[in-house]
Amino acid sequence: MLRPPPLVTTSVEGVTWDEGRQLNVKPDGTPWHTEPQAASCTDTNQDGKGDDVNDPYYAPAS
Amino acid sequence: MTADRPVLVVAEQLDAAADMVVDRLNRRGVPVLRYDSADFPQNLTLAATHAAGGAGWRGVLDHGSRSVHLEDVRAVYYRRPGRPVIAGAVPEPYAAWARDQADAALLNVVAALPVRWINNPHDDRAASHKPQQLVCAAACGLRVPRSIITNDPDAARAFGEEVKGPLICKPVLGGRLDSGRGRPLMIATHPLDPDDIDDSIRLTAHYIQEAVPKSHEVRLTVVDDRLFACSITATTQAALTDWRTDPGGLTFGTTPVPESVAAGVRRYLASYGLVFGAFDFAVTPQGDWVFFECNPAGTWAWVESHTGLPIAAAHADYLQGAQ
Repeated sequence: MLRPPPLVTTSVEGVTWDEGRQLNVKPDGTPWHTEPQAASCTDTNQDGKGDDVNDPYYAPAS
Repeated sequence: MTADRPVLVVAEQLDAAADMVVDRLNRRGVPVLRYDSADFPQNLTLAATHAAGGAGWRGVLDHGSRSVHLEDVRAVYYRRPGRPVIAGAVPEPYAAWARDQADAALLNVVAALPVRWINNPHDDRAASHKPQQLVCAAACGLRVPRSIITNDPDAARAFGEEVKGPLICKPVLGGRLDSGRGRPLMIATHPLDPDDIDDSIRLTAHYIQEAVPKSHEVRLTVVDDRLFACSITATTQAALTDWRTDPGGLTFGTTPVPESVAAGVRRYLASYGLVFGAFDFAVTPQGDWVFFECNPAGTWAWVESHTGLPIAAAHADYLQGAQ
């Protein structure tokens, strides 16, 4: 029986890339990672799509 | 080791765990070049040479605003990057061929760097598959669930009779099922009634295990022998079966790790040559820890976020070479 997948997301609203610091920041300049992070294995790159397939678990068995 | 040798961080841009590690390295003055393999070849330039004598690739990895000499790289943090993206002007099938060339070149030149890794992707791949994980875990002294992998309904029924208790069924391989409607589906662990076993078992391999009674579960993150144990207690039946399916039905905490389990997970990681592993355990009402899986590139930013366990600092320690 298939159910819609749970998708746990962390908000990325207003988050931008800081090239100098090589990380994502909030509009006030503080690092985005200091925000509460959802306990998620379904949205590992936090893009809200829940379609992550680069997990090594997805590596072809061969 | 000079102080200005850079750490490569290879991850997707919106990755909180990578951000946490980069932030730690920044604060320590360790230079970082962060890229996603999806930036290659359009926004990342590789020029690597290998001499006739003397082992090792030398050259430059240039990401526009910053670049590194490969021979200067101190360590690599490799965490679920995307795949190279070829310019849209290249039609199929040439684009697919070009993507494979780009993928193999970038990954394998970087993977050949003789530096500290968390984790080298070739080690990750070997450690990624659940059937081998079960064997390794048991060989390392960890308790594992009784399990069967089969496409034979009679064998599945016989396994159920042997277990004489509840069963679960879980995917052998992760990833998503794209039904073509809405988001691709995550196939979670689900209870299996032995009376429901029928000839559909023959359609593919099925991974069936005894359902382990749980007091709670533990996400045990290990970084270079340092253990960070997050307890996950389910408050709903769905979360009890697979905690990923009901994020609202969970509470988090920290927990000590029994010495026998600590020794087992260290042996496990050493056997695969891994520095990092995200282990999933069930803890029975009697307090026994039962190994489910170990994801060599598992998520952990949420563990640090919920518990304050210093996982990013442990990564930075290892990558910096502080220990």
